[in-house]
Amino acid sequence: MLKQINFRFIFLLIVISILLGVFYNFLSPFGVKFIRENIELQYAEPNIDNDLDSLNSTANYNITPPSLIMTEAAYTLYNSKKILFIDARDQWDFDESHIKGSINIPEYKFDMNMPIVKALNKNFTFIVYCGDVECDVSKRLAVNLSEIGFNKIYILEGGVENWIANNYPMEP
Amino acid sequence: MFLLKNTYFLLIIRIILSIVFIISGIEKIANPSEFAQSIENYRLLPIFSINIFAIFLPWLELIAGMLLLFGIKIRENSMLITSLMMLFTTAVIIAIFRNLDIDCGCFGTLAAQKVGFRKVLENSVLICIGFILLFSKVQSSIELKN
Repeated sequence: MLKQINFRFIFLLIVISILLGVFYNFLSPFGVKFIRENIELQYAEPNIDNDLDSLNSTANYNITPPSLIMTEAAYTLYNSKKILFIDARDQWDFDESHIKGSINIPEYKFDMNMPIVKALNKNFTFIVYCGDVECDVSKRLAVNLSEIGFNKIYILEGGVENWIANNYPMEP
Repeated sequence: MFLLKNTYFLLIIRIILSIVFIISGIEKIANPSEFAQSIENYRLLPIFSINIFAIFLPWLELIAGMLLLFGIKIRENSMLITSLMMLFTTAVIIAIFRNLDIDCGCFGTLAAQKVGFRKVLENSVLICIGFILLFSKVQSSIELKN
């Protein structure tokens, strides 16, 4: 059976695909870099809660990349009631349980034109989270939000798993 | 067994497999950054190599799908498509066992689908179709000379 297959044709197809892909990527306005770079995140500075009032009330035109925030610091912000938590998991995980008061923007179907995204104030402070320390959807959603102009995005380190481990408020 | 030799059955499944790959290829070509992110989500490849695969894989899907649709080199394209499906399905299974909460990246932004056993089942059907075409005595409409 394998002797009847023209493997040179398959190899030629792969080569043509590579050439076409490279050529199209070079010309396309949506092309990507050939070498992908890793997104490095920094930890948020302590005492950020003191700056929340000014951050939430004035427009900050210096867009900063998302940074990680420890669970305890996030809880401090939670109690200040001046931030909003965004759950990046899918709606089924969110419906099962989520951080009290958070909203759901599933990362896998994120679109900048989603009504819930358009309704958010880009100058407000948000903390994005997902399941656990292995989960990456919160990081990706945070980057997506940052790229469309959300100025202050934090990513909850350890996700909802750490939040629950600390007995912090959940619902339902 | 009768179905496996039925010309019309083979034609229908060939069209189905072709269209799936053509649509998949077009969507990923239109949104390479999203497809690259989908590949990264699986955490199987080194970061620096991901965009390279995101650039050429959709074209391979598209070209193989179109050639299969027009009945050109059916066995070769069936083998290529089946191999790709087995590769993708393996990645999905690994993601399931690693409890990764990710989009499968199968159709780009056209249809968001999470990795799960349903996706494995869907892919398995396509793999079966690929094997049927590979081992059936189907005649290519155009046989390109070596």
